[in-house]
Amino acid sequence: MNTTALHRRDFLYGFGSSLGGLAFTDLLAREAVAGPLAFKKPMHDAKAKAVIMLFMEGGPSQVDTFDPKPKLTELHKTESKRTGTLEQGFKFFVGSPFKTRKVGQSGLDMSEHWKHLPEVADELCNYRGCMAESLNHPEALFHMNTGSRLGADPALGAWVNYGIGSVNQNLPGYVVMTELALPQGGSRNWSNGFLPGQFQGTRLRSSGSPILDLHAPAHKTLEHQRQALGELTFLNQRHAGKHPEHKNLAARMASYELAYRMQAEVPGVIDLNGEPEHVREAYGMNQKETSVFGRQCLMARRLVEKGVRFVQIFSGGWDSHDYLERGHSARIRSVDKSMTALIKDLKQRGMLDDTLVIWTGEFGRTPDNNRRGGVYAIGRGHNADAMTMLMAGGGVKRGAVVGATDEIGAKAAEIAHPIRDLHVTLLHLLGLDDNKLTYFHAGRYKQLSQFGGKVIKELIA
Amino acid sequence: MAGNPNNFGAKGGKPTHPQLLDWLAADFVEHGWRLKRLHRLIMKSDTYRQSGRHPQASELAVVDPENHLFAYRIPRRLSAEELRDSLLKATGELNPAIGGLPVMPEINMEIALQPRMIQFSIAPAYQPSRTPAERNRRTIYAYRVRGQADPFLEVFNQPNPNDSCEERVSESVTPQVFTLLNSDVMSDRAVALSLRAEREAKSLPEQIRRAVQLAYGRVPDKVEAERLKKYVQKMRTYHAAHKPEPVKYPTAITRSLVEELTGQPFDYEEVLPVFENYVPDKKPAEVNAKTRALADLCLILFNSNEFMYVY
Repeated sequence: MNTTALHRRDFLYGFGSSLGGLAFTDLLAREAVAGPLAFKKPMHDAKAKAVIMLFMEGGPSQVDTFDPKPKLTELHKTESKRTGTLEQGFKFFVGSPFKTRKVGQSGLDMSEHWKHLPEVADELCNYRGCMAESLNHPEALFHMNTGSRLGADPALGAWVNYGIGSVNQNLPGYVVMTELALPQGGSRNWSNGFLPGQFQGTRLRSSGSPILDLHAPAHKTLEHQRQALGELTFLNQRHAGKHPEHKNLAARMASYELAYRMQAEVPGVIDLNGEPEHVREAYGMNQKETSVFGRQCLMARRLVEKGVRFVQIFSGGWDSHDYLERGHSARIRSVDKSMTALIKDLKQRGMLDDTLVIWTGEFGRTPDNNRRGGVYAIGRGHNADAMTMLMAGGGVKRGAVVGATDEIGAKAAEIAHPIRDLHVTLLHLLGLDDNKLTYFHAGRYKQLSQFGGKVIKELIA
Repeated sequence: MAGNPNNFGAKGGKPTHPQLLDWLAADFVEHGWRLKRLHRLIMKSDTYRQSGRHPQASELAVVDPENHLFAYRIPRRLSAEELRDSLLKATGELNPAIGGLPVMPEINMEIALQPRMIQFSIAPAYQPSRTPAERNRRTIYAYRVRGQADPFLEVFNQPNPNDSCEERVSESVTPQVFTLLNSDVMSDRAVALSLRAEREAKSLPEQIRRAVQLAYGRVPDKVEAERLKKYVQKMRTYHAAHKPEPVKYPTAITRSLVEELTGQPFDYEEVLPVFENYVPDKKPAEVNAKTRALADLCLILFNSNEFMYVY
């Protein structure tokens, strides 16, 4: 039986064309020439060629960040009779503990703890219409990251690399950075799912070895390794001589060469010592609360510069059920400076036009809370009906608010779309058509949106 | 012979040998749906016992490039589980016991101790089974944590446990190279094979012969034997001058995380009781330079295509 990727795909090639999967076979044909990770031309004119996704795990509150609701302040601590939420028993409305002001020429709303972000307000597009569908963290994370709540499908970054490949063969095309702790659901959030293994997100680790087992143990020098590879090549060549019919031997030998090159290239990309002090300072690398996220944002810029298609940074702790004021102000402070620096830096380098930056969580938060531990806990529950997100660059509107939530921020009310439409829009910006970016698995052609979706035209500049 | 592995319907591919497939299917049903019997029937057939290679490979490449007619066998890479089991079998570490409770193999320690968010907290660290006999069981007995895959198995395409898998993929990707060349798991296997070869053979040439035999199921030819001997001798000199660091297993680790409800960072200590009287596999630092030099060769054997593919 044909179990290798190459044969499986050769087989699918013939099969796909009989079902009219034109774009699909086109992808495979291009791939057959240059390998699955090689650069591929987009399906239509692309606005963006790379994505940096800042994932705020836990669910940032729309009301306390970018979507203020004065009505909630009026209703503060009065009874809420809303149903269909996770919270049980007596519920009361929670007004935002934060003041909000209009920032930038465009007058975007931002709560008071955003100290730096106003500087790039006119680059931002605040989308208020997305609806998540799940009230639990792992399912919602999977949904936002893979298009499916079940956590077994390919992640966005995997689809993007499947669609447009990577321009730098010495680096992984999809890089993921997390805090010390992995987000809920772990590596299923950046899985290749049913796509070939090359498309899996590679975790770039902030401590220890940047990529798992990238380097040999300390007692083995580079020269030692070079000699070992020499012996390996000797054995492999003799073996290949005995099996001329076996096509995959060469591919496997090539993977050792790529590994060797990657070993050489990765340390250079992640070594931030060469960055000038003012850049390190701008990204917040010198302050404790922003040092990790700042480092990751700077790394993201460097990776995109080197041709990486999809970079994802997870930053947790947004699940403010009880201490909203403390929790959200601390979380905002931990990302504010660094993400501002990232957008400015991309802009300054002329990279923002074709790099899409997305700031989002897995869902939003409720306008009310229940009496947790018998007290009026000033926090918010999970909300699958409304959330807020920011986008910048990559062909989205600048200095704009798109969509709206109702007057208490409970539900998306205008330009409301499910996550799949957001995904379709994202692929569209990258020059990919979700209906054509398919992969045959489990008896049918599968796609990121599961069963199709709409481009959210209002987001596009 | 079926067109594709899980779609026998109208939209599936056509079988290559429909009559044979029908005959086998009917025979299978008539004789009580017994798989072992079916396997025996197939494996004892003349066709199955023919050579997997074709004498006229170049002509075949023109007539049937995709091998639809199964004139030869396309070599197959070891699957994740087979690979781990084969390594342990070659080194003599495999505990072949059947059945019983799931075991916790030793996995990459960075991953094992990596904090992992679950609802409201951090999941406990992954702790391997205490003794080699307990953990070096066949991979089908390895406990699978849904949110934490063994990176070794994952990188060799073990399907994720949340989805059905119709067909294993086995493409070659660079993270596999990092795992096979640099991981502690592989370093331990190389040392184990080296120690076994030293136990079972006296002189260096005999030890090399034994290592190749255990990994490949054949002895090295003259050219190989000569070259590999020179390599190991060179590595003996190298290792006499390069001492590895001893490996320490922590009995407690400090966890730092952002508290989910308040957004505030905090620290706590997690104890890892299994490491208080843990019996590790032999590490490079615990063996001499000669053993490490031979282990270098063993590692290369395990990385080579001849070990990785089934013909």
